[in-house]
Amino acid sequence: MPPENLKRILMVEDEPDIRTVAELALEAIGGYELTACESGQQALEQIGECRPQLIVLDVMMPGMDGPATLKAIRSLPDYANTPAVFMTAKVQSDEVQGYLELGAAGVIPKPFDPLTLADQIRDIWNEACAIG
Amino acid sequence: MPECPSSEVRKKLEILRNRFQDKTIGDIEGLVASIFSASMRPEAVSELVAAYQLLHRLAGSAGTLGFTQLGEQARKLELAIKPLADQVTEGAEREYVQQQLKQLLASGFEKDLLGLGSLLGVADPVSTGWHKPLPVESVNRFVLLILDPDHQYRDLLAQGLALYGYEVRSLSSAEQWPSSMGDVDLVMIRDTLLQDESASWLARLHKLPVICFSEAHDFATRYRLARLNVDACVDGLLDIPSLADLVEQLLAEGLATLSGKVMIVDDDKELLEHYRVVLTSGGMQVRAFDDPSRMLSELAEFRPDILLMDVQMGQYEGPVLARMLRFQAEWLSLPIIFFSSEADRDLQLDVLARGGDDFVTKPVSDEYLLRTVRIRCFRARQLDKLVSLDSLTGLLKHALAKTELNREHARAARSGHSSIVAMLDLDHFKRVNDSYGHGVGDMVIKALSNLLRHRLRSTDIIGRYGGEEFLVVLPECTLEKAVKVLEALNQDFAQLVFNGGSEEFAVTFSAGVASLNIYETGEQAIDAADRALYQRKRAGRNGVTVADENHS
Repeated sequence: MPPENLKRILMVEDEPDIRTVAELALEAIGGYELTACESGQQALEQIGECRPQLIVLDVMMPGMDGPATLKAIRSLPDYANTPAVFMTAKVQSDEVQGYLELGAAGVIPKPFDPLTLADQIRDIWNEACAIG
Repeated sequence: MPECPSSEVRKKLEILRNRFQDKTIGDIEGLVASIFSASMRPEAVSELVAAYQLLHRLAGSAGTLGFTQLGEQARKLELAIKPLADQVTEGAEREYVQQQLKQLLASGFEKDLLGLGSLLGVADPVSTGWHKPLPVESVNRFVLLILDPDHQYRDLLAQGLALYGYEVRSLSSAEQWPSSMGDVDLVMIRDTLLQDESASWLARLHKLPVICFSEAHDFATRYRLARLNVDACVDGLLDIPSLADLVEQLLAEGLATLSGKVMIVDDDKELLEHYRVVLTSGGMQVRAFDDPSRMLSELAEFRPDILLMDVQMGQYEGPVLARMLRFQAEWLSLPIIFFSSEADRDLQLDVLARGGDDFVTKPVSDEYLLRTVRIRCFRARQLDKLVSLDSLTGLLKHALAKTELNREHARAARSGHSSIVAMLDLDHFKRVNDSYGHGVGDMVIKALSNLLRHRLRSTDIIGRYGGEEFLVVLPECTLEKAVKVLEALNQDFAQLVFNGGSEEFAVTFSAGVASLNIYETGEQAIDAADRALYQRKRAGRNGVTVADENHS
């Protein structure tokens, strides 16, 4: 089955600059619809409206961090299997392994390049679809 | 993917970068101050936690905004200070942490910390790289499953269909169909395997297009197959091109009903939101808004398949808006459907006369709305296809293919990427028509069309340029890559075996290739590709030739 087209992405990132760059990278360049939230709490409030096909999470955030947010999202029946991607400045391979074990479809190291972020996301999406 | 002039994005990145720079100067000053105060006063060591967090943030973000060196340095400092921040969080003795901080500062940390601010002056050039389109040879492959006890037949079929870019799996019986194999898009099955109607796997066929190989033409058998949800029946002859054509049709029908683009205008915000949710959850792409004065700009941007609107919206009347839209040739054929709360026949007729196409009477049930919209979108798309696509091949018609080529020529000139134009022509096609008849000739043309469609990217432009001549445009592709792709297509096409009644035969094609960029107009590029094509024809056909100007 050719992968369903990715359109709606939910991003949780506490830093406003990165949210803005990501909007630019994913909306203007990637052509996706991005809902960018500043906290896990906000993500949980907006997820129903955004209905994301893919979720991008910063790992380290004040309050609810990325893994905690993912856990909360996974407890919602509609999003139990939605592919999730972690973004992190720490990329030691054992940590990456840990995120993948949490059920992440991929890990994007920070800093990311705004011009290729959309490609990275698309690759992860295609792969996630291929694996099903 | 929407076209997005790279200069626009670059400009925005530049603005963001300046903003980040302004803000971060203050952040770094604060960071330096808090680390020094922690080294001086044990009460202040708790500030190390915030300092660590700030460094972590910079490590993650500075690079993205173009300050790679700052990001790397912040990362280094982050790692150095982390053990201290952890100790603070764990409640270690303040004096002890302060002591370590002093040592750390003395060992070079201080110098690095003070140098952090100056790195804000070292920005990378804003990248000129651009998002890469899909590699030329990669395509989304459909998965076909063949269920047939005859393994020889299965293998031949699988080989033939694989040439069209399908991923083919084959099994000798449906019992072997593993439940984990859930990505099948179409099933081909031998009729003898459908004898046992109580088999549990039959349910798996319900949602998929099914082609049955059956030599039985009697009413009872055919009726039984139809009842088992078989979509098409072919006799067991090994006619790959016709079979590939059928596969293509069935898959396309499945896809067409999947989606559509709907625009809704209604001044009742809650209702609007409700429609939006219903249609979106039904898989439609929806653009909904409550202010009719935005209609023209929204239409131009979203380009919906159909438009739904209320009859009366504040100061605006729906039918007047419809008439206004019809001023523009562009929207003449856009289906407009009105919501009307009154079942007033006269008013409805009046509205139809003034540019509307149909009515939905409010209140409308969710299911009815979704079904109406789906059907309308499907019809609108079919109509649109009839107008712009060649009826035999489903490829772009001559004029439209040329328009698209000129558009790509302009796009390539603007952004500087390399794009390719190719002209393809079937070899000795007249002989095919003369020997086997036009029906068989059409099948050959269709086979090449399908092959091109499957093996090229969805963003490539493919047009039927003349009788047996095709125009192909490969955006963002190098000459070498294009030649490689076309040569592979050339070889695979030559392997297709056509059924000409009493005998089997194969057909080849010739292609001429030129770089779109090096010509001043799209027209000149076509001419160059055409000249290359005729060189290839003179040089013995069956192959790919590059235009002279492209060799340097």
